[in-house]
Amino acid sequence: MQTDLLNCGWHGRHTRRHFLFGAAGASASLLMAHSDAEVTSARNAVTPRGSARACIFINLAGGPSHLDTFDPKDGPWNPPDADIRDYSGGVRLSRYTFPTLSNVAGDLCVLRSVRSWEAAHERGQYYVETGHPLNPAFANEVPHIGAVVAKEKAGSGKLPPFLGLNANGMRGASFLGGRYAPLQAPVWGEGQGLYTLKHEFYGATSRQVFDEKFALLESLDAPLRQAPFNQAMADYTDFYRQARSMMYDDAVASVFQFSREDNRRYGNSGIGNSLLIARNAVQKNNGAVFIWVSQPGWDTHDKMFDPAHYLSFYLAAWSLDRALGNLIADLKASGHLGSTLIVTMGEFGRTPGALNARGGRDHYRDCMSVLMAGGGARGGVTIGATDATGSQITDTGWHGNRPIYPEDVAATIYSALGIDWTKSIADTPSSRRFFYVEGAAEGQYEPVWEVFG
Amino acid sequence: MRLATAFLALGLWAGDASCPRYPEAARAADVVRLAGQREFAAMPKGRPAAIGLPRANFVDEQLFAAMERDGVPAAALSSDAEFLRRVSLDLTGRIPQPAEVDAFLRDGRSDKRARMIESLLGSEGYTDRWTLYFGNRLRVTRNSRVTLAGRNLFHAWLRDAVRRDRPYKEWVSELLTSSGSAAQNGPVNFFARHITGIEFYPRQDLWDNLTDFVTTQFLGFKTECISCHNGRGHLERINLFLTPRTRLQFWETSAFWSRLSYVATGSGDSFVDGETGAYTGVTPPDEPGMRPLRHNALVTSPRFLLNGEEPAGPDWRAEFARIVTSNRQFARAAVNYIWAELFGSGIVDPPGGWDLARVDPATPPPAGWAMQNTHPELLERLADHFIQNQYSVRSVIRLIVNSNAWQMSSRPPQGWKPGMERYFAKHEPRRLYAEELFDAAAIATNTETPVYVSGFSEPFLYTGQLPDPAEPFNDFRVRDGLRELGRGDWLNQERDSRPSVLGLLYQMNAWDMVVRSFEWGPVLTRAQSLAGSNLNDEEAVRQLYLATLTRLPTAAESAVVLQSRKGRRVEWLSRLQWALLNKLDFIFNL
Repeated sequence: MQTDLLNCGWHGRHTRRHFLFGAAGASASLLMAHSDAEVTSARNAVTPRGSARACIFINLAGGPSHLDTFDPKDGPWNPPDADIRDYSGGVRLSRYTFPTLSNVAGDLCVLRSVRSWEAAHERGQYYVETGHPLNPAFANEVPHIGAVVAKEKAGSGKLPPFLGLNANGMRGASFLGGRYAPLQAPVWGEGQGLYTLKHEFYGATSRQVFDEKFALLESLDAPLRQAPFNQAMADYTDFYRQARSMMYDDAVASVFQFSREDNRRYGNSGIGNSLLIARNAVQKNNGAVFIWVSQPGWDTHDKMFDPAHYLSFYLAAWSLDRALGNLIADLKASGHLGSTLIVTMGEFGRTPGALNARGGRDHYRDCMSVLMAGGGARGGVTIGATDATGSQITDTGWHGNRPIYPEDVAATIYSALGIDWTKSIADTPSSRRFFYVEGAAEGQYEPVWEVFG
Repeated sequence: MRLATAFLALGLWAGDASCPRYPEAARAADVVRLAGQREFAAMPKGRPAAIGLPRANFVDEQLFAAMERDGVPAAALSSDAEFLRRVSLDLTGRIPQPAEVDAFLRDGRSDKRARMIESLLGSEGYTDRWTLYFGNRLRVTRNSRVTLAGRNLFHAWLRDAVRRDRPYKEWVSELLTSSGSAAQNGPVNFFARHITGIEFYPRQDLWDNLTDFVTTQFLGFKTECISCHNGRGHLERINLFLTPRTRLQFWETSAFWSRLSYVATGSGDSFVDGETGAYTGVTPPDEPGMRPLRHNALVTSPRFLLNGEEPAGPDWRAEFARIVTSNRQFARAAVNYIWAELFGSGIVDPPGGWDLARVDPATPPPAGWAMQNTHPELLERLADHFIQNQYSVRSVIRLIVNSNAWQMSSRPPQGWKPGMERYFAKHEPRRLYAEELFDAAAIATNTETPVYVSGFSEPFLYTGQLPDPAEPFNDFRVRDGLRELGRGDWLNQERDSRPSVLGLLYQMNAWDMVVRSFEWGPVLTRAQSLAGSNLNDEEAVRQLYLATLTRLPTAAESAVVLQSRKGRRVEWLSRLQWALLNKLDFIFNL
């Protein structure tokens, strides 16, 4: 309770005037210059870690049971075949649940003293995506963490900086603009890739037809592009150029393609295919800096250890295991793990100790676990501890000496990526300052430095 | 820690300037935004110069007088073709069919524009377009609280109000006072929708959110700031009107909702009003909500922020609806929103961000502040017109689009400078909304395809008719397309019509967009039928331009196109069709 008022981040989140139907803000941009000068860092002393070039964020939607994933305890609730094993640094995993991840236990950094502000999916999910509390008045203005990272780290690569995979209804760039919006590529279809990167309706001549069409378009549109009637029209010229540059580019297309063998190895699932695309994007290094991957199926209220149940815990856990275990192994083998921060978390934990009467676990916000790997995070490390049933944090395990909150996780991600997490942007639609991490400027939230050692 | 938080709460209560969330530096930067308004006020004025356009109504009289006074050059009147496309999109959300374009361009009557406006205002398309507009503003969407049945009822209720042009005052009152089951009474879903998104929170947060929504949408100004703290110490340099307003005053307005409660039942939520109840500061300790703690002991009685009026009877919600809708600001805000939708920006802009202390010329703001209201007299006359015409939205739209000011070209005239937008001295192009773009492509290519929505017996031919942005639920191709084009879901994502790389890739390469330009299942596409017609090449090109861009090609364009002919006629015509669908003057409503 003592820290609950920290949740009072009521500034920086007022509603938009212009995103309402209709007023696209075109005229405003001519009248009022949007300038980077309005982006400020509150604390000059801040030194981001900068150990990662890219981040793969795996959102375990529904709220995974910390007790049955990354913070297992001995207790009668464990299925008889759980086979919980201890690894160096205090990492514990069920070999039955995570056979693949167990092989890379030495690369995992497990944060166990994490606490959620929320116990409801929608608000919790909002926190995971934005690092901010959901205030309906400002909800739509706050951009996704990935969009902030994209704005900070977008380079000259042809791929958009922010990918969103296997996610329905995820948040976007909001006022940061379309350039930083997530590219939501399809992940099904056996790795055929992103279908809009090609013009494929004319058989073998498709590309030639496209080139002819595009040339005709440019020629017919030249007068308007040279003398657009307002800023909104002027913006299109750059966007056409960027979109066109992504087409017929083998390196861009190959990010979305993978072999049948890889598809099988990663588990032939939504999360598996998504992490294959994430792996490719990181290895190709052609623009993507934040790859958001969502995996549903963690809301295990009932019969969670019954593999036949449609919402069985194992369905989600085993898919994650194969995909994430192989991702870490692949990135390690190709030498990209050190520069890629992998973060895995849901919106909250689940009720501790014994299962509920329906054989499942319900929402629980006092404890949850966050799994990190790569990108400068130490391997074979645990931070913080909970009691024997996973019901309370007994050791916070970090310099903050209090539970780690989603804001701290966000600050940790920003820091790893070399981004000043105390920054804020004044020029928002509502005129209310957007803080990357609310309260960070005053030191209320901080990166978990212990992750990096 | 406990001490610190208590201090924080007290600090906010007192409106402490040292609020850590909004430090002085941040406030100072926010003030930059206001500089835009001052710049406008201080814009170097040209020599007074006559505007040659005739005055169709008082909109023209007012706008042209301001332009003449300040020597602002006016754009030329739009051409008939430009006018037709613009008015069709703004009134119906769809581009005109080629036969309509042809007939309109041939029509020699001097009042043909007014006739066209009248015909569009009475069309089914008008109902579609403006139901979508209000649906977007009221966020008519389905989600965890709003059931399919509830959504359909809410949509049908709103659609009926738009179609019959029910007095705006009347239907907004009905909305604000609706009660009963959300599954049976359409407008009740307005409240269900407000609950959604927040599964647990104290009732006070629901009431406070409703208050801010009502002041923003129906009175034009946000009150969110003072829902957490007094204006003093926070808003001095941002909003003159809200600065002396207090959190207590906000609660007094919010207290009008405090007899409203909802009951979750198996068949949906119900909203009922009690005879008793009041706004107190007591919230559940484990769910303190999103705002700083309220004062436990304080019981707040309803009083309206703008004029201190108190409820005259026990039905506080009904009293609130009466007090809100009978305030003149209710009419002002409404006409300004409509104006902004048609002109691209409000007379007071943004239309949901009024500073009520900077809009009335009788009480000008102190030095250093600019009037936010660029045309005060015009705004009052619009409000008068609205009220005198029984709060008819259609009559305000009719008035505006009949003005020559609205019918001016969007091409910047000689001497145009940034900042002159506020004179409305030329039209501002806007990108077509996602639904408009999708439907325009279908109309241009003659490939309208019905989509089915659960609960409706007839399919929809246009996406602008869909009852909510989650539809068509059963057609992921259409849904994905509209998403790529920026429709938003009005839950997590607002509508966003700015360009995006994905949107352009979609527009250029997606099956749904490309195939329309040459071959589309059972129907003949425009390119196919023109290719198979006995028109000569030049005439076929003219027809394709007419159907897609609502205009004829220029001589230069014709030359480029005829030069590009290659292969069979259907091949080069479909290439041209594709290019036209991606042209800026297709993507924009000029």
